Amino acid sequence: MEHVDELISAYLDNELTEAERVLVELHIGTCKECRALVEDFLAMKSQLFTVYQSIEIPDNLEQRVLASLEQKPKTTTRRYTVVPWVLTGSAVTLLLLFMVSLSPLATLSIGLFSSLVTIMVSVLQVVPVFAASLPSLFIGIAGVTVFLLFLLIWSLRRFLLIKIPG
Amino acid sequence: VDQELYTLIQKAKRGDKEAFAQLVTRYKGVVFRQAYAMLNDRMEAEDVSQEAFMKVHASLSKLGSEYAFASWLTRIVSRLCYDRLQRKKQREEKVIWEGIKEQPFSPANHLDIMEHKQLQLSIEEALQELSPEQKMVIILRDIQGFTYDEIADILQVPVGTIKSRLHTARLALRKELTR
Repeated sequence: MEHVDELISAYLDNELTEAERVLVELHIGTCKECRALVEDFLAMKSQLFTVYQSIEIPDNLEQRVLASLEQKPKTTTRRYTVVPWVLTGSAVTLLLLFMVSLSPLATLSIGLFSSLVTIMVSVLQVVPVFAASLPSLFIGIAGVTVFLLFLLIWSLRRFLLIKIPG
Repeated sequence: VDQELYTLIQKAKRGDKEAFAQLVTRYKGVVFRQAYAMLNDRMEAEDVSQEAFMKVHASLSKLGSEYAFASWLTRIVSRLCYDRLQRKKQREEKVIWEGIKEQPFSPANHLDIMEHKQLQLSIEEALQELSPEQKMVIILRDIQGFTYDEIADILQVPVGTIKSRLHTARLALRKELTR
């Protein structure tokens, strides 16, 4: 239980329960020190309110705020300016692929592509054999690859979130 | 009147410049008074008021409910004032430290300080002698008129803490005024 004098502030601010209020009032009736505290606190409260209520409020604050808002360059995130470019780029690529597939060049390209795939498959078959013979090298390469991948993702994220004026 | 205010806040939220200017007019008194009572410097209080309204403009769209506007604005001003006081304290500590290094303690200086301390303080001066946390609760309660629950919400501390902090702050203020 708090000491009664600790309730005096809350009593003056009307923040006590009914029982606490009665307790404080009974106490003030008999304790001279606490009565003096109540009087001093009341005087302080009223003085503070009066002093600060009478201070002069700057009349041009609205103009200052609005002027600062005008001066401040509007910002936008690159995220929104990048998206249309990505969409346009994808559409153009699809269109080009479609046009190329209709031309005789397509037959040649497909032949070249299948050769490339064959080479890639052969390389992939060699990799496990190579990795088994030199495990530390393989782990090193894997580590560097993962690091580069994270670096790439982080750079891409930063690039997309960058703020540009205008 | 309240409904009119909430409509104004809604309009400002949607980007209505005129409504925002009206909000500034309406709240500049409480904002400036809070900043001035905390910082005791008109220029700094004006800067804080301006900064606070700029912050309001920048993040008004994130304000969940119009009813919370006054508390939200007061919280912004409180944080800006705490930041200013912190920076001021760091600057003063640096100046004092440099002063000590250059000028060793002399009984004459000490006497001057003692005499100054013994002068009767006005309530504004006495308020400045309190800690920023004590000053803040007194300002929010006695100058701004917030309830304990509202102060607890603004300062993000339990109501019990507000209750005891306010009482301690008033005792400290009384001590400053009567010594």
